[in-house]
Amino acid sequence: MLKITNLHVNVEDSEILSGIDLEIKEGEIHAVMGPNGAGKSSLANVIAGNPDYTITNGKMNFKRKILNSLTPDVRSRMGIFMTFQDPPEIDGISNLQLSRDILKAREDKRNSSDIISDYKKLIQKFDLGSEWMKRDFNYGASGGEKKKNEVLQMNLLDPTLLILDEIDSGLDVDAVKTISSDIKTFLSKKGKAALIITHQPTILETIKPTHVHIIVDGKIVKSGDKRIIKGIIENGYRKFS
Amino acid sequence: MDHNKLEKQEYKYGWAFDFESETISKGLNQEVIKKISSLKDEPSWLLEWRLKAYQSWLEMTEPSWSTLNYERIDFEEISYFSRPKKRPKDLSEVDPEIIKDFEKLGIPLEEQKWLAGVAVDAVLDSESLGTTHKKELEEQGIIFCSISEAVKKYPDLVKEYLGSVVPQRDNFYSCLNSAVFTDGSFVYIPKGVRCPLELSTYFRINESNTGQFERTLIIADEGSYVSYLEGCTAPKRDENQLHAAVVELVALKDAEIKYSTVQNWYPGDKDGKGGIYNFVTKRGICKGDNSKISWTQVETGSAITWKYPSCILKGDNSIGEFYSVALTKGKQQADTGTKMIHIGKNTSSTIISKGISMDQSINTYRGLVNIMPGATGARNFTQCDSMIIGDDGIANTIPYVEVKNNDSIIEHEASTGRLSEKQLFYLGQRGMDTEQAATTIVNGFCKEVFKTLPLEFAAEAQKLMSIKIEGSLG
Repeated sequence: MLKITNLHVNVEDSEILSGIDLEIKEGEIHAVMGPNGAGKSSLANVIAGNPDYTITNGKMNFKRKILNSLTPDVRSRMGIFMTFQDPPEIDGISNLQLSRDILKAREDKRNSSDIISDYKKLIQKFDLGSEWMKRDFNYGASGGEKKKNEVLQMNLLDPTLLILDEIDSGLDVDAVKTISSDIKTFLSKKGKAALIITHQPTILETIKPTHVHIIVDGKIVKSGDKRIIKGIIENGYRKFS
Repeated sequence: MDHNKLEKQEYKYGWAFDFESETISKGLNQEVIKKISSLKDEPSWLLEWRLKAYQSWLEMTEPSWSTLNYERIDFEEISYFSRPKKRPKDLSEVDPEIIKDFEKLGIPLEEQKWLAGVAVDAVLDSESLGTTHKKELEEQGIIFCSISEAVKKYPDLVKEYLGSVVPQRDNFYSCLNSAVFTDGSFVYIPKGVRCPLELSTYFRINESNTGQFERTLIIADEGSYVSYLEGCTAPKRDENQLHAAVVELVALKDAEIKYSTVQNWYPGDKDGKGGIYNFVTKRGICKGDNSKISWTQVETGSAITWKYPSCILKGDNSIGEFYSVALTKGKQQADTGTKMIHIGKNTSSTIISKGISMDQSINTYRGLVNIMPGATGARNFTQCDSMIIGDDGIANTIPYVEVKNNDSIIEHEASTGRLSEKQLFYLGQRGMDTEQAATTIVNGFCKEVFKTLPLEFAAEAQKLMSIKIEGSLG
């Protein structure tokens, strides 16, 4: 589904990814771990097409198309969805309305009443409260509510490749549970794949990765299965740097 | 900036119909004013009023502004009166591109005909919305007609209030308007009547087919209510560049007037050539106790906008509101804001201004809150937010505050920021292209103002924003 070859990436002239190779196939769940500043989030953002990141070398293929020069919206409509570490607030448009406008931009076929009923179910599932729909997008929402809103939108948009950029940071234990069990269910559907960026192994207890990679200084220094996680819990990342 | 992109965005309403018109030769003098007055078959008191204004105007000097740059107007090069002899017969005579744009704005077919200046006499005089509603309005004693008609039919009302809020000598352009105004609207709402319809100039703008020197007078008698819409999204056939209108509102005791404008005059081309100089004086007086005047404006057109819809809060407990969105692009310049003059006790005012500057445009908020010694317990809340899109736009906020008693509360909030890259990327990641994302963010930014517009107008304003933003990002 996604194939990254020798990817080099700069932010404002300094290299933050130095030759990443990564292949994610349908049905696989890849966890990327590593210390702060190693380049984990950069990898997620580059795949999503964040214009702050410049590809200096290498290439990314998604569903047999080269992603490198495609705009974020095109990638999104191809099925790539990234949850944001710190999702923005947007004034003057309600949570529901923005989700509807997003679906409209994607030429989603659901009619208005279907969208509303889907939306209401999701609000209930994530316990966002009855006023949520009417509130301005993420406005005055807690960190946890914003993360829940990301997962809510994942459900609404039904992507094929899910990128979770530290979906677990700043969440309490219960919220991590709700979110991770929902994501687990989502990923059990056919044709899905995921890239999970995290430095806390907790979420990986529920969403069990098929592959684990350790990134240090912009390079993947180790790849393997979930047994790697145990070593990290015990020894941290020190031995990789 | 990609010029091909920009060129596509050139004003689409600026066509001219190829028809004969009756036009008084260029220049301004007493004879021209007499000619206008006689062509309009006016009573002598009005001619005298015009001539008096003309005399005063000769003694006045043209103002200059700190933030506006433009070539001086040659008042001898303007023709002060023009009306078409013949209009296009039906929409098939109108450029299909223009019809397409109307559809884009969601303007219904009948309204398209009006806007395109089509002579739809049958529809117009017998069955049009305007006339069927006219009957409904008349039954309640509401007067809604052109000011020319009002001069003849209701001279006492016109005499009493014309120039009572904006005196002839108020400023250079109001004085010029007083001398040469061609047409405009007149509204009178009788005591205790709540006007059941939104009154709109859409219906009448083509009746007169003028535009440069409109004069509008709205009087809300005790305990009445009216909502008035002025739609300048209309393509206007403007012979010259100057548009100097005067609007006067009078709210008597317990009355409320809501005045909404969506202005989209021709802004000039991408190099700043041409376009309308929109030098407009709009002012309302809350004359009676507990009265309220609310201005909402969405300003997107004109090469230069110079406009400060204001409220004189004379009655005790009276309320003034000003909600404004001003979007400038290309080389447009807008200097707009409001004046809230607190005279009565416990008067309150609210100012919400949203400025958006794109390309090389200049967007200035200029406002005055003046609390007089007798206005004890007065309150004002002002919020001015500016958004800059691109690298070259300029946003200024110039608030003036004068408080002459110790018993009033003034609050002022202001912010200036760029269109957020983070929000753009976020919405892009969810599947919106840059234009959709920017439109979403800008419309959200303007929401507080749009929500004060009547529903249909709010939808139109949002569409207008997206058309303006289209092609200007890159």
